[in-house]
Amino acid sequence: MRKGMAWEKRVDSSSELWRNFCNGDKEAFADLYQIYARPLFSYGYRISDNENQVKDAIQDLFVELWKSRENLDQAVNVKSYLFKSLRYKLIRQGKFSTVYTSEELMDQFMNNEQSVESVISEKEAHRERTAQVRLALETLSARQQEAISLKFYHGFTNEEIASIMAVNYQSATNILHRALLSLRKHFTCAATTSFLGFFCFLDFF
Amino acid sequence: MIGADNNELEQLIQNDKFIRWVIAPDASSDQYWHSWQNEYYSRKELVEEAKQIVLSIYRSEAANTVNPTDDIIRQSWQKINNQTQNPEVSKPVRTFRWYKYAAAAAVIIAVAITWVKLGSAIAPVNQTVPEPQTVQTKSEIVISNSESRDKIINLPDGSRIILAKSSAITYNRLFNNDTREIFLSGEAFFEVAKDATRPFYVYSGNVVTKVLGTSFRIVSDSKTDKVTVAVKTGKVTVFRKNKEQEDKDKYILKPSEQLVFENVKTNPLKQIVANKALIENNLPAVTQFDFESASLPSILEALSKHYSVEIVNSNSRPEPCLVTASLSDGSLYDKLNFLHKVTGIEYYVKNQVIYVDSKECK
Repeated sequence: MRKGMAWEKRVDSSSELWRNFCNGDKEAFADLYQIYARPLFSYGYRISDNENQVKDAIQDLFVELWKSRENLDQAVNVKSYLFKSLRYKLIRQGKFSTVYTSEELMDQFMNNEQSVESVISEKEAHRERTAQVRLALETLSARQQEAISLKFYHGFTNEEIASIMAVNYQSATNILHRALLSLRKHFTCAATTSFLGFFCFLDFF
Repeated sequence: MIGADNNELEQLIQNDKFIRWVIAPDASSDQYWHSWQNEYYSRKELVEEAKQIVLSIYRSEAANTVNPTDDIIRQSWQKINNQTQNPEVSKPVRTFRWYKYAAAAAVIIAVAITWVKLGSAIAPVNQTVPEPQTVQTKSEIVISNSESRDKIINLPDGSRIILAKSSAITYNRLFNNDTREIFLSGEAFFEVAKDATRPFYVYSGNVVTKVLGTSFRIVSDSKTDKVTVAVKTGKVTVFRKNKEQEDKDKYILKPSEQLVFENVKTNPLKQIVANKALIENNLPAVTQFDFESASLPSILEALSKHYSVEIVNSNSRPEPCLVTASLSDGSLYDKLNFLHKVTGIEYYVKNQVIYVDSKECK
């Protein structure tokens, strides 16, 4: 209830709206915007740090949707389709495309435990678990962060995440798996680091 | 600390159904996961740990997420709306469900005025007069008071507002977003229900008032841009809308203090409330809903009327479902959850309508 739009029951809730919109119902179109604008903006801000670019992309997206409504697939998964379209738009506009090209390399590079350790000890003051997780999140690769956010904040399934991020199902699962593994490590580490010192890694490996 | 159940834990925190249950539980997922964890003794601890991990990731994601302001959402819709007005599509598109908006023309006029005022406050650089709204989405509700006496408004979160005459408020009908937001034109007294996780914002002219749970009055004059915020109880944060950061130039008010913005430019003045009438809470006692062997439809109708929301009773059974309950505390959603516990009815929110499924009602 309180989680806003992201976690509303979306079983079927949008598909009827979507069909009505495809058939030219402007009110359904307005409702779709009302339901999805917020999560789309939040997601867009994550991909691009240029707020105007996100705004323009979302406006374009909806205008294009309306213009091509008669040719759209009526049975689409609405939320992930919108996310995917927005992501494609933002990335196509340049500059972000390079961030994700060599994902594997990136993930390995970013999983460097050393850096995590120093980040955590630097910010010892952040005692609260949420703050620790956030720190740990910041050490993940951009792609891992994106997948985590889609799964845990926006409520997408692995299958939907694969579709949004334009990778196959297995890759999406791998990205998430590695991200969580890395997060969990920091967790335990952060929770025990004060009295267990470097033993914290041993919990997992 | 962590033993052989490592693998199980990994699986659990990646399980979509589990995540959904942790973040947004409902009756059926509650039941499923409770019985799942009761199958083996060791699962209790496992579930608890997995839950903590999922929650802390969710919370930190939530804290890390930048949300668009309502203005941006609104402005963007105006642009989209303008670019998607094609006259050749003259199918009988339902642009406005008049019957859903109880008050007629007067309300609509009030909307226009409010929006023009808000519009100019939002975009001082871009001095275009916002075009009249041709499509109003159902999510926004506007309540205006054209009568000569005060009007009491019950918000779904349990907050209450005394709307003075010639004043109007706009808000998200179901009031279930991450932040509670009210747009005020004119004068109102607010008694805000406590909810530390969802701050309550009032936008009046170019002044924003932020609280968590308290009572206060705002008097705004759209002609002179004068805004007064007077506090009765609790702590209130006030800042100018055009300031990007609320941390900057914010004013914190304590009970019996008031902040007066004479106009858009000069710095506001903090004072002790001189006119005590400003902070008199004239709200009647909280409405007590006592139902004795009442039919579910009649209860839902009473709630729907009280909170100005649409509640649709779907899937009702032929035999009547009679309920005896006393609903007084908390929000509309607390009341619905209580009914769920007592009677087994399910409800869900779709397109700004609350649907109640009463086939399990007992």
